[in-house]
Amino acid sequence: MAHRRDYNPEDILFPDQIITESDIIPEMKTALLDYAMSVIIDRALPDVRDGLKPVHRRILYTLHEDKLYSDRPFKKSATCVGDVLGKYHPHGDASVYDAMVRLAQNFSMRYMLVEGHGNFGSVDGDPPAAYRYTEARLSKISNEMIRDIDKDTVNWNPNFDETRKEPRVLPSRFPNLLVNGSQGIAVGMTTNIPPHNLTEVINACICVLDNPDAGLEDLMEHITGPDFPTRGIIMGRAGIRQAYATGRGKIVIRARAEFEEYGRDNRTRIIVSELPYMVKKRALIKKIADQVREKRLDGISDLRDESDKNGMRIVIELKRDANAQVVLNKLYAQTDMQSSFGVIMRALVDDQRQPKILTLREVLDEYLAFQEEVIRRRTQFDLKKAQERAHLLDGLIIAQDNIDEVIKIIRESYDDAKENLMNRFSLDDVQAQAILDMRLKALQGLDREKLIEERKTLQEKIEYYNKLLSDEEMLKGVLKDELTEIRDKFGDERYTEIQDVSGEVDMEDLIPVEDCVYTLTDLGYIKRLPVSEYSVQNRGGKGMKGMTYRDEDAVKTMFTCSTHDYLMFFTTRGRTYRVKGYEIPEGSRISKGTNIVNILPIEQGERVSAMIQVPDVEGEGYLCMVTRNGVIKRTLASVYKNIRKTGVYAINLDDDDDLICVKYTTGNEDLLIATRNGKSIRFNENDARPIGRTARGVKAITLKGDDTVIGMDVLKEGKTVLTISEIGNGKRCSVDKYSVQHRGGQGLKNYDIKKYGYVCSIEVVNEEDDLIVLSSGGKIIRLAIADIKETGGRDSKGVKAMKLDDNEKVMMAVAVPKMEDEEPADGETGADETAADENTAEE
Amino acid sequence: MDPHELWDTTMDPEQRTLRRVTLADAIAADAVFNLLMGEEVDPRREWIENNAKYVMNLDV
Repeated sequence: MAHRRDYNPEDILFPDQIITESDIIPEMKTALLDYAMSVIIDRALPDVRDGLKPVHRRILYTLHEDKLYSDRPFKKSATCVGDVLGKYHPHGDASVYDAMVRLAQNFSMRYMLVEGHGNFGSVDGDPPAAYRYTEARLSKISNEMIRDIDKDTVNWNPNFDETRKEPRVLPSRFPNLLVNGSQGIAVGMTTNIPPHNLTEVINACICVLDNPDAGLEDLMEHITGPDFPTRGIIMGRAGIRQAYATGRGKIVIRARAEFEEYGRDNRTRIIVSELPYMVKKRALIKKIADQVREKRLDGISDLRDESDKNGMRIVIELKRDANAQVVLNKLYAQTDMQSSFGVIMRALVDDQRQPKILTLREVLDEYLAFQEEVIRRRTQFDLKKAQERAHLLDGLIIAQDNIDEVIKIIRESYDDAKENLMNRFSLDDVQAQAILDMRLKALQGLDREKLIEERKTLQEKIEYYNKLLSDEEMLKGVLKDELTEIRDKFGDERYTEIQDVSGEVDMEDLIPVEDCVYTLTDLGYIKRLPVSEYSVQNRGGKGMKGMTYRDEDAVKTMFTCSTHDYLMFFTTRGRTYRVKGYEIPEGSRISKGTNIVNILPIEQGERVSAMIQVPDVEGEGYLCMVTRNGVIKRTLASVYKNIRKTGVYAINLDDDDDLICVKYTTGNEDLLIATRNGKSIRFNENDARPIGRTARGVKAITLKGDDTVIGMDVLKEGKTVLTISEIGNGKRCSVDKYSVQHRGGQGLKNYDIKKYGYVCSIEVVNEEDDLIVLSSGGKIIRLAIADIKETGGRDSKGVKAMKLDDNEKVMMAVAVPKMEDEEPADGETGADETAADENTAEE
Repeated sequence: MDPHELWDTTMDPEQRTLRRVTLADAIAADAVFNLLMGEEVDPRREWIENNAKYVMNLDV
């Protein structure tokens, strides 16, 4: 049964209550501003003067109040956390404990501010023990953070319930912001200041005091760069300089690694002994192991952590054939063994009213101005104390000098001894009271001397203090002395090494520039092999085993380019992808290579139809594509500048067409397109106007019958056109023999296919280069191009370039630069056989 | 805060102040939400820096 309402809803609307209206926009703005500024000022960013966030300041001040100094016994962390919460920090206990733990970690702080006892976590990323187990006290250097705090050197705020006062900033007698750094994420802004070496920072402070015009160069004579508690190696000074000059910069830090030989067969292993700042060792090792498992890192046979109480030691054992330097470079490139520290020197200035990004000089200036103020306020405090004491002593000395009369006055007074003394000796209340408080012992002669002596020293002090307050230079001198004292007491050698590097450090610099032969098979196996791996044989030789692959597979594309050139891949679906040469895994001479799907994100059913090299993607060059059915398309190469990892469409292909050749041209070159049935056409590339990325293209050559385009090349003066037929014949003639026509015609006769076989390959070559010919049987021969003599006519037969078995035909021929060092052939062919072939060829 | 304190300060219809948040311009409001809570940090930082001086309540 439904509950019956026994009231009228109108009655509880409270028509008289106060309702204010507010639009969402100003409401949002004030709410977010309040929140953002609260986080910025009272949580996440450090004060430029003491380098502390409020929670750290409250921890240190509470420990100071509890007198937990470095010469006192430790106290349970729970007590400290509780005190901080109860007195000053109305937030979660975990946030306080986490903050305190960090102050006690020797891998987080360059100079620890809290001394911990127990498990405070480790560089492995282990969490610290709970606060009921651990103990803490201030470290020695923390005394310098607190020193002089009771001499009215800083301003004070009431705490949250206004029962206590807390310091707005600690006197921080050493430059803590730079020395220990700071990391924080506020709203809309972050800070990331690296730690530094105390000696270096104090030397820079002194440098500024001595020379107010000191520039960044002068400062960097002292502060050479950050100094991390985890040591490591900083790569390069440009990022450091930028960070110091502008407040922002990127610093690259590397782990320290050494090669070590071990075992009977002198195998190499990499020993890592220092890590970049804030890198967790266990996570790093896991990441390396994962990448080894996924085959993203090769050459590693074993990985162990042999760290012990004597220090860190990660052992990375290498496979016998691995190049240690290459493996190490990959570790730097692909794991946190190299990490970057994005410096953002943001701190609160103007007495915590304003967050600001500061240069090194500004940080030092802010700090020094604050220290001068601390010393000035301390001196004023000391002066006041000394003057009060001197005043008191003046009274006491008067009493001593007139002791009989004083005693008489006191004895004769009823309850107005003080007033009588004041009247008689013109003393004030404080002095008269002090006289009344004197003990009879003070009447002896020795005590009078003591009083006089003390008064004299006080007078000297007062004069000194007054002088100090009026003399800026003298005050700076005191500051310098005090900083020097701290430096000499706590300063140490730099931990982090700084290495000079030329240029930018990235993966590319770690990879040698090397000309390689890139081969791609029909089934999509790709391989990279340094040119030097192929040795020269004589013309007509049978060749050596070039690569093993499945019977139905055959090499489709082959060319040479540098490991630092871009390779572009074009697929049957007209998509294009781009990678750098070194991204292709290097194979051995007979290995079948890597399936392209491991390198490019191509889809099921999509195959790579062309692979080309692009020397310069930013330039004015063009990409000329020609299809099997004679369509040409020319597009500015820069259109492909920003190819996504997932690839982009390069050409809109007809259904039965394939992209078979793509060339890079400079903008006014002649192209030569050749067909299987021995036709060729030469025209200027401008005959095909540049079009957009996804367009179809225009007709390049009119094909008759079953003819198909087999290749295209760019004609260059002084070079020769080399035509290779399927049965292994090669013919070479001058570029001039091909006259310029217009695009779209049938072209001219290039080769007599009835006599010498279908055309397999055409290429514009240098006479000095070598030719590598590939057979359908997988054999490769390398010969000097000069061995194929230049002939007069376009349609001459040429010579035998490669001897083929039955049913074997030439798949591919490609020109490669000549090798300096010609080694004798190590293939299957004997010299006699080669000579015999030569005879047949030239009959 | 005890229940009676909550009543006195916040619940009592005689004493309390209710704030009715209204939406006058949805497009402008959307822009503000984007600025203040969107993914782009730079405009937000700029806005905070420009408006820092108008802050009223700091949660210290």
